[in-house]
Amino acid sequence: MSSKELTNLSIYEVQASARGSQYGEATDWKLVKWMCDGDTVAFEEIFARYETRLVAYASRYVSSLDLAKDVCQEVFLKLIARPPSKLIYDNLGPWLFRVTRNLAIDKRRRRKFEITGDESEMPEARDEVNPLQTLTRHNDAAVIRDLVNRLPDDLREVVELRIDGGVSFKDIAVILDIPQGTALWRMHRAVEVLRQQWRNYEPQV
Amino acid sequence: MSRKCDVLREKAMRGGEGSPAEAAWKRHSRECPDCHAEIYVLETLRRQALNERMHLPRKDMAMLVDVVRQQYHQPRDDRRGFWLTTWQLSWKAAALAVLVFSLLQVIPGEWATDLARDDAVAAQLAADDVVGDQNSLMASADSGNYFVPLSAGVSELEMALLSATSPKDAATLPEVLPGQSIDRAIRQARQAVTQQRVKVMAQIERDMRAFP
Repeated sequence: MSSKELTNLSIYEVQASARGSQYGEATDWKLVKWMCDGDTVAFEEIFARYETRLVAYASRYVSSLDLAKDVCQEVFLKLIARPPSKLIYDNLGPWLFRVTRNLAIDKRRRRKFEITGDESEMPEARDEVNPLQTLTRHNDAAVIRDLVNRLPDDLREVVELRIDGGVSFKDIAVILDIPQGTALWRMHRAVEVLRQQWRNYEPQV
Repeated sequence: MSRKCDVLREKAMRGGEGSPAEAAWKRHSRECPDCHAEIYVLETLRRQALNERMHLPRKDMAMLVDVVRQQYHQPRDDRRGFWLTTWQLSWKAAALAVLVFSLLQVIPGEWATDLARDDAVAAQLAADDVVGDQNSLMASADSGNYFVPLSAGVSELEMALLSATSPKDAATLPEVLPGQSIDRAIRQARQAVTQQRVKVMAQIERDMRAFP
């Protein structure tokens, strides 16, 4: 590293240390701005806020956690390369989750094609086995996950965002481009459907 | 499932995890098997999601931070920066100056030409007004040179149309509407009429003088 680069680095470090404890309280928008000014600590803060939730959310679309981590990494690379020019409610969540969803769907599609050469034959992470097969595993979590996977897409998306992504209903509304009331209603409906389905399987467990 | 269950569930969902509303819903679920089942399903999903909330490997994180550094840490070359800034500012200023200069040079010239032509027409009209009378339109129609003053408004054009002595005259009226060649023809016709009128007036005066 040249002396000039070292000087520049110290400028950014001084900048970061001046911000001190502001990172924890700063809005996402402010953090993105700081990141664009070369503040790596701001990026680390964004990363810490969303990393695990994005991995969990991506894992709903791709079949393995490793792939979910790859998706998460790509999302952050996208954020660095092309940060959003504006944010709704100063919140980066909707942007990140939307990008994650698109990348995960894309990855799933590409992976299916790589393995089979055909997009239609590879079983999905979400529709691989029937619930009775799953029941044999005597695993409530797996059964319930299967039930979630069998929900209609509009209901399933809300459940995954809310529970796996830990996203607020306000942000879900932004991500899915629906009114907040609709997001809430879909969650209610999903819970009702899950309860009914679960009741059907419960005695057999 | 009762109405109360719906209300409690909605409040719990709005409140989020660990909220008092959720605690109330959980208390209610002890007596309500449906709510109990719902809470069980949701908690199972939450546990599963928590298990899957995993961190990226440290090396990936370090790589991302490095990308941020590469992308946004621009090495500063002060000398180059000065010239770059000067150039960026100077070409904008130069472009603006050229634009303003051309506006100042070209547009007033255009205006001057237009104004000179308008002034000539106005002067001609004024002269006509002095010489002629208010019924110049009708008078000129009688003499066979039909024209409408350039200052004529819509109502005067309409008047001219209404007072046309024949359908043929009326049909010719639209031709007096604006247009360079038509204007010129009108001006020439107007000059001819004026000269003729002056001549006739002089002749009348001379004749009148013959009978004191």
